[in-house]
Amino acid sequence: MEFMLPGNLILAAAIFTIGVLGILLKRNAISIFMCVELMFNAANLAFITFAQSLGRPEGVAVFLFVITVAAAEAAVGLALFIKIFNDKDNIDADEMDMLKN
Amino acid sequence: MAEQLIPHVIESLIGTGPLLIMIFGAMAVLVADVLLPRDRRPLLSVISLVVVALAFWDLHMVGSPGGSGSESYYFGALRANSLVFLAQNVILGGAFFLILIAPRYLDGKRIPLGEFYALLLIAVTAMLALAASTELLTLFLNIELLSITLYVLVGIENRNSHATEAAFKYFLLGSVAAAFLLFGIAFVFGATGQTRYDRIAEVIAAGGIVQPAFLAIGLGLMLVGFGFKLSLAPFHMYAPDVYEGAPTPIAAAVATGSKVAALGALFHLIELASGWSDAPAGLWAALYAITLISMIVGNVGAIIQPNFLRMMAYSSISHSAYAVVPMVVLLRRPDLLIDARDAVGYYMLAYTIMTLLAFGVATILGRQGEGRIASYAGLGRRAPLLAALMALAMLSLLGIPPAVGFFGKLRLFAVAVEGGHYWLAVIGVLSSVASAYYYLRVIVTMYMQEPAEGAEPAIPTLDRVNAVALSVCSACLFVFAIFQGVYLFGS
Repeated sequence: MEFMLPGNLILAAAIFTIGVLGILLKRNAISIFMCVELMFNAANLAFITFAQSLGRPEGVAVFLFVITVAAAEAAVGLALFIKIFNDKDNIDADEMDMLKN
Repeated sequence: MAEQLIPHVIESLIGTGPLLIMIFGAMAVLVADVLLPRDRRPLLSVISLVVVALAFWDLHMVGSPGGSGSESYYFGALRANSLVFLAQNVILGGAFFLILIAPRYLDGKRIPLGEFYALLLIAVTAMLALAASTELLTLFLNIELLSITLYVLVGIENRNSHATEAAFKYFLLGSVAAAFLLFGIAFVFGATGQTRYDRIAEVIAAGGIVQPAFLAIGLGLMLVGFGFKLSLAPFHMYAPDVYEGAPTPIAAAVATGSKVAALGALFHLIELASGWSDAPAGLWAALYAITLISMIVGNVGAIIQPNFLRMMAYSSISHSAYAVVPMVVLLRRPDLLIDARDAVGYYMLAYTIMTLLAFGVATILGRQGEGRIASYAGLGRRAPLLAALMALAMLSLLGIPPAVGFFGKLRLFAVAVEGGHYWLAVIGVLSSVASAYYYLRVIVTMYMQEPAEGAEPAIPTLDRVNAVALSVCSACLFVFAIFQGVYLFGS
């Protein structure tokens, strides 16, 4: 079967790459977490694209579940960030260096 | 289809009874936490024990399909076979042990009991389901359920900034790994148009892959997610920090149950991928490289650690790598499926017993030196039983013959040799010889060194429940080894 690479898929790959780069370059935990959310949404976009082009509904179902999971993850993550901000007045990932050998 | 629907759902509900018992048990613990008066809270650990015991009983009522048979539940979402059955036994047994060991540690650290036990039971449920997952969405949901509960459990010790930092690192790296896993799942779905493993296998067998490159990319990205859960190098960065910062019983759960579950899920995936006969060699090479690097990073990293828990983290990196060896072989030699499955299953059991024993002793010693190996000096004289149990765990992890660790490694490397992967076996054996340095160092410190003048920590007391739990665990170290010895050499 001939398979065309749809523009959506290129967009998804680009968003995912931006997310990965952001994680590597950013220091603020909120920014890093936003990049993770970008990666999740890139995956969602890929799911929708595949569901559309293959005519399979599972991709759309996965997308709905992923939104829910991402919300649960954000709830835990933001609670952690608030705790850390209260302790040290910033949430730089680089300043998390108490645990070392 | 419609007339088969109801019987299949009922069959699935019965077949996954242990999962249902665990999840309702977790809710019961949450409700009991609210209803019980404050001074009766310790009862929660008894309730949790009863829940785990019930799930264990139900698991054996349902039983395993036996031999190489397999059963699928919820339209292919979960699978029951001998490996899953073994993994679920190991996970529930480990949970029972941890709940027995934990109460005094939790008291000492002022950790809220209700939240702790409820979240632990939910995490155990996710582990049980993860080990059985054979559908892409189910896999993702179970990994996330497990991860999110573990993020909270790692940081549950509210007043300790080390625990918060450990949870922070675990959370950030864990969610990045989950994003990689999800993106990989999207590509596997895009390449085959299916999410059930059995359907994907049919598509692969019929040569109906839409775009082979997508399948290879997808499986590769999924390996990143699994590499994180199994703390394989180069995705292992979080492990030492989490093991050190988390409450020790939770570090034990991260090291054992969570890894056993991920090993089970990875095995289903590799079994699926091994059916893809014209898969690009890159996939096999990637898994091979990850395994080799993990063995080396784990053993080299452990040598320089002054902290026992950090040392155990590196040791568990190399042990995960050993457990992945049969899967590397399986990718090249699908005919060795049964051998590889049995070897991985037995290693799950062996690894969990010896690691839990080590973490159990560390939990009881916890409040003294906070895990510094130097703080174990003179333990052989001050607490002979604890020191002896710790020494047993170390010798078994090292792979000294009469204990389970030896037979576990023997079977793994036997599969590698049988499948023609001699280098993996050679490096594996060499690296486990190198591990003698840091395992024996713990024993030497306990028996041959004395604590500095005036710095002698209080003698840790051992109550009856802990003593029994640890003794049973150490007995398992030999009981399962004898079974294995009879099985291997007896016939």
